[in-house]
This record gives sequence, C-alpha cells and structure tokens, in this order.
Amino acid sequence: MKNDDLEDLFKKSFENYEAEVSPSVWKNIQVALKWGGLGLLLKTALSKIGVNTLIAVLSSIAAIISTIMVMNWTNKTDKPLSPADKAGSLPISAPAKADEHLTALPAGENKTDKNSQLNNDILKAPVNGQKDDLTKVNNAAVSKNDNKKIESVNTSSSEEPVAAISASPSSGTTPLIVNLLNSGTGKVNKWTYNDGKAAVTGSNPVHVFETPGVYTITLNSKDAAGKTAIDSVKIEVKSNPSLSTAPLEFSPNGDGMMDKLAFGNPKITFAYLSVKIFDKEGKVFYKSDSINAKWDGKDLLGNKAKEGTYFYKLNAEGANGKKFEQKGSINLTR
Amino acid sequence: MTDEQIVKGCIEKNAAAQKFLYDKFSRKMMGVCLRYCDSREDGEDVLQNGFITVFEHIGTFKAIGSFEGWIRKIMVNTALTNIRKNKKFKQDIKLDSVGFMLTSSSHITENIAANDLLKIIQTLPPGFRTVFNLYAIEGYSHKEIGDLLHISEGTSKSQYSRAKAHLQKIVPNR
Repeated sequence: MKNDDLEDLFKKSFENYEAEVSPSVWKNIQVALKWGGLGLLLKTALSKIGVNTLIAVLSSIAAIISTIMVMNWTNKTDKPLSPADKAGSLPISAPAKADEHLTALPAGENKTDKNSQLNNDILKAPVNGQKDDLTKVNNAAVSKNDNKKIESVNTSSSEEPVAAISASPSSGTTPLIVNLLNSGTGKVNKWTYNDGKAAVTGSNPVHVFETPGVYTITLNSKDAAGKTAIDSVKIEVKSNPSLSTAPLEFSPNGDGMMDKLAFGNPKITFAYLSVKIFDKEGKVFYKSDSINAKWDGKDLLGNKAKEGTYFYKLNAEGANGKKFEQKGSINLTR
Repeated sequence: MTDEQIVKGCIEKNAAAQKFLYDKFSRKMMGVCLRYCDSREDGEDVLQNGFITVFEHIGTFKAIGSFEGWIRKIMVNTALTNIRKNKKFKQDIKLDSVGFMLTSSSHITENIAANDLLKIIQTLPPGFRTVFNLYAIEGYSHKEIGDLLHISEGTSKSQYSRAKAHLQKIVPNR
C-alpha cells in the first residue's frame, strides 16, 4: 500500500465514523450537570461507585448532619453528653462509605468536613450502656426532620456486601472458557476483564480468553443500598501447544529449506483439519481438507505465489473431540 | 434545531437542547474518543468528561468555526488529558513487539472496515497512536502536535513515520 493510500484510507474511514454509546454515559452527564459546582467531584465519584451509591451516600450525609444538629440541641437543652453517649446516640452506625466521601470533599466544604471529623470521633468512641433512651430521643427528632433520610441511612447501614469470585477453570490453554460466579452477597455485579473485551454484568457470566497471558478478572459487586465490594482473581491462559506449529516465515524456492508448509502438529492426532490461505485481497489462494496438508506455495491451479504476506485460517478437530481454530499470517519469501 | 439554536438553548441550560446536542453528536464523538483509547470503557469515560466540558463551557463557543469541530477539539483534548493522566506517554514499547493477530475473518474476506482499522489503531502503543490520530485523521501539523504533547516537532515526525510504516505492514491491501 502506498503512503498516501494509507492516510486516505484512515481519514476516509474515520471521517464520519460512529460508534455505539451506552446509555449510562448520558445519565452520568446529567447528574454531573445537575450538581453544578460539585460536578467535577461527582463525576469522579460516579465513575467509581455509580449513581445509586452516590445518592445513598448523599442522603446519609444529610441525615448524619441533621442527627448531629439534633445532638447539639440535646447538648444545650439536656444534660451534657460524654463521647460514649454520643456514640450510642447515633441511631445507626454511620456507613464507612459516607466518611470516605466526606473527607474527599474539597476544602471549601468546611462545614461538612467538620461534621465528618466529628462523626469519625464518634465512631471511634466506645459503645456502651445508656444508649437506649438517647437513641429514642434521636430517632424521634430525626424522623421529625425527614423520613426519607432515615430510610436511606438505614438501608446503607446494613452489612457490607461480599464479593467472592469463583472461576473455573482458573488456568488452561487458548481458547480458555472460564465460568464465573459471584458466590458473595452483592446483587449488582460488574465484571471487568483486562484482555480488552468489554465489561459485563450478571451473577454468572462466561468469558473466553483468546490470547495467552496472565489476566485479572475484577468483580465489582453492589448490594441493594449501593455499597460496593470488590474481588479479583488471576487467570493464566497458556498458548495451545496442540495448535498448528506453522512457522511465520516460508520460502518455497526449492532449496530444501522450508519449501513446504505443514499445518498439523506432529504431537496431535487430528480427526479433521482444514486450511485456507488468503492473499492480501482476501481471495482464497489455497485450501486443503487433508490432515497432512502441506502448502508448496502454489495456488489451486499450480501457479507460484508471489512474495508477500498471506493469511491462513485453520479449523481442526482433535481425535479427542476438542475443536481448534487459528488464524495468522505467513510471510512468503523466495 | 439549528446549531445556533442548540447553542443558545444549552447556554440557558435548557435540558431539551442539551439532550438534542448529545443525541446529535455522541455517536460520532464516541468514534473519535475510541481512536485514542484502549477500550470502550476508557472511551466512554473520555466521552462523558468531554461532554461535561462542552456543556460547562458552551458559553465560550464563538460562532466563527464549525460547532462540530469545536466539540471534536474538546473530545481530543479530553482524550489527551486522559492519556497524560495515565502516564501512557512514558511507556516506550518498541513497535515491533506489538503483535496484531487477526481476530475476525471479516477483513480477510471483505473490504477492510473502519471497525477493523479501529482495532488496529488500538493495538498501537499510546504514543504512536496519539501522534498518528492527530496527524493523519485530525489533520494537526507536527508543530501543533509537538506543542500539544510537549514533545519536539522532530519526535512527532519520527513517531508518525514509524507508526505509518508499522500500519503499512499490517493493513491488507484493499
């Protein structure tokens, strides 16, 4: 291909190229725009934890703030509280998530920062007796404020979800088909693979690794309240020794060296083996359905192939019933 | 809705205008973002951040140039920021070590399609990929690329010619 052709090809192909976009992108943009100044922060948080978690966290923050305000009021009008009392006075153990995100707020958010600090202190304080009546006071006060807030706080205060990947098999040869299952408690599961394929959702997906390497599967699991748990597992994918051993270089010039290209693998008994060789234009140049196929560098009419790159496609079935498919390129020199 | 009306609506933060703008350009801009990224996920992150920038700064759009061109420029800049953030420019992988295995028979038997070219672009190391995209597809000059990526004009030129030589080997003739 000539220089200019290549540039033209890419330019023309991509000038009006369009690609599918998943609906979540627009949803995230909307949320970011709605929250205005906080947009940047939310954006980052969103991409990590998702919209539902964020809403739950924000509601939790609001509820905690109102709780603390009520506590202050109790402080003034009632007997002073020791730290231990304060701990007891929180109707719920504040969710760890809320703390993380509170501390992530920019310095401008002084008020919330302080509250989160206070909240941390409260969490650190030992929990002991006396909490019952204070809890009542607090619950009553909070429910006066906003019922919805309590609801979201309560759900997010439930136990942390658990993500636990069981992958089978965790190693093997290409193409490696791995059955995955989240045996944890999370309800919404997102599986990410670092082999370039798109992430998927579901509780028991199947993933196929096509190229040898060591990969990491990451499971991001959310419970109903939007709390997340993460687990990951390493998968080792080895090259398949039973695939063709065809070399990439091939010189059918009659010098006795690499004059014929064999496609089988001497170590494997094949029940079936088909070879197709394509030239650069995509035309079938040579084909064979013989197990002992050997390409001599000629086309089906016996014409010698020109030097250059050819593509091959192998389909085979081993005597054990295992199916193989391999594609690759051959560099033919004379 | 004309571009002018869309811009006006978006400046007023009209939700319908924002949605209209997004629907009109998102698929095409996704195509742009994907060329600079390794994966769909990465591409969608860039697209999302790019559109947020578009909406937040739409007041600065001057009706001199094309609106699509303005949006595209923001997408490209967002993609570059993303690459810089991931420090991908620091990876210095030799092009020869980049393997490209044909994963579908479509481009053997049919004309090579944009989807296949995209896969090929995505296998390039980020540095080469970025320079190739900017020069061959976006039409920036090597000087502009050098300024954008904080590399010298010469580096841009040599990365481009190496990327091109590599692509010539991979891309089958039509």
